[in-house]
Amino acid sequence: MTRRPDSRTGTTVPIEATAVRPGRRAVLVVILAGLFAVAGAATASAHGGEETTVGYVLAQQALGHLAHDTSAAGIEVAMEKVDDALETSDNAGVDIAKVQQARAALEANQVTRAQELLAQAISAAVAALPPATGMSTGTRTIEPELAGRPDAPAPSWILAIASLALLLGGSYLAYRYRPADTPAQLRRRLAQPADRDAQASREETP
Amino acid sequence: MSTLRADPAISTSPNTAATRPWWRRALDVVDDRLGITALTYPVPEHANNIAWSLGGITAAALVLLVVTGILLTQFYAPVPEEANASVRHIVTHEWGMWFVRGVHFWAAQAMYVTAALHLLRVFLTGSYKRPREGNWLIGVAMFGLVIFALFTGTVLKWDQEGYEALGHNVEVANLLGGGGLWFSPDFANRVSILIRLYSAHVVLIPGLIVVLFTLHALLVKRHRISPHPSLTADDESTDAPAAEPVEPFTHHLRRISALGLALLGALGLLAVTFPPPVGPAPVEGIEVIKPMWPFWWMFTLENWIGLSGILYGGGALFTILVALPFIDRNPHRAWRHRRVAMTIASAIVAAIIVLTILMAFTTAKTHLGM
Repeated sequence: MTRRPDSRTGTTVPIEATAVRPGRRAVLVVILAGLFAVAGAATASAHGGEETTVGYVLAQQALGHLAHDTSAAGIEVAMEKVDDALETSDNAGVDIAKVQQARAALEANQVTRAQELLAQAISAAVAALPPATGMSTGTRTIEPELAGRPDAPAPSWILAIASLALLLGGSYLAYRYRPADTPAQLRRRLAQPADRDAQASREETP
Repeated sequence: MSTLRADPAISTSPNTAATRPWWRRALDVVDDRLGITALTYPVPEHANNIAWSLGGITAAALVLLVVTGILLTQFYAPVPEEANASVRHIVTHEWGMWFVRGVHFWAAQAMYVTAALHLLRVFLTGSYKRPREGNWLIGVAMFGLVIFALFTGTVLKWDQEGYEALGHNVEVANLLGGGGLWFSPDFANRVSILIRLYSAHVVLIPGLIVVLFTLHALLVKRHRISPHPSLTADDESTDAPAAEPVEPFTHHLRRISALGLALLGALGLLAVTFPPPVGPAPVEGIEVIKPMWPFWWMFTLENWIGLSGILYGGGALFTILVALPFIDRNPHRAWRHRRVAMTIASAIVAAIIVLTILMAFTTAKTHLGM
């Protein structure tokens, strides 16, 4: 029987004894089974979806696009949504006249005016919405992005200075409390004969 | 013989008791009852290096997240009709809370980065090998929870970015069939999924992380600090060389506290300089926002092969991480003696970096409902 050295025990062991063990084989089987299950589920469950035909949602989508992109591309996509909102038959609570005015405002590149008109057009529909459950957004109004800091600059400077002081103080303390030796110094130190002997005697001790 | 560098702040010698200042004697009284000096057990000197302190820095980030998170929950309304408006109120009306929110936002990303670097360090130094396989699995589980916390935190803003992230997650859950039921809105159709994710973000995830962290720390104590492969002649050894100097564990805690202070300062500067904005309230059926950068590599895969790319990419990474200690039976810990593992890991890290960079130059595309 072929044998190989075992560094842990210092002896030789049969190669057959260290071939794929039942435990490892079981782990591999479980992993492969999991991967196949995921792959199968992904393939089997992939399905298509449909765009909404609900009028107020289409108007909200137009508002959503305009809230993120007021460039010509953003206006174009928003206009498509407005057109869909005008064409759909499911327009309960939507003021169609205002949607038409919003479309005209978009054509004239009056984005803010179009946003106001669209918000007014769907106000009755969103006011009648039940409390949001499941994946419902619960969105009533769409305000533009808000900066993450109020305008008043004074507290910001105070907080910045305090943060800088913490950063410098913490860095100084971390430097002061650093280990006595770098890894390179430790390597050299452990390579010295006295330390090697100490290490050897320690390793020989059962 | 190991050399223990003494901690002058902790001395229990009875001969010096009479000359000790009152506050040290007061500490002794506390210590008699709480056993704090048990923390002075020796750890090898290399444990105080930055690379070996990454786990501790991750824990420091967790502490910052818990403290700032508790403050934020006082003003946040976890219902869809109010969530976005309440975040705006936090930023504009509650004194200083924009800063607290900024620190929370950046601390979450710092925790993700330090946890990832900690995993990488443990991999590079072979610290996941026998007898530390179990602790590696606990660490991988905690890393998964950190990503889950990032995801749920993104959703809680209840802006377009958060809602699109949620939409992706629900679609991926659908691909998993029954396995993704909890993420389905049908799981509890009388309750908004936002409320369930809020409960996960503030109770379930941090609670699980704390439980796993406790186990993690106990197992580190049980198995001792892993050896630095370059400091020992035998890189198959499970322990640091006996000749390596040791320091009290309290020195390790002291340095992590200092690094934690520096981290807080850095996060504060980021919060002031780059405060996270609040996006418009969400609208269903549109995709206009890219996800947060830690998820970019998976979304590049999604652009290539559809929604299942997220499932395949994330699933493959975590499958490899979980299987690693069982597949890699090479007893060596030094990277020079682990060419196969190093080659595969380099390929994975390079792929994640390239996929992330690709997403940086890509605009948001529509995937949901496709």
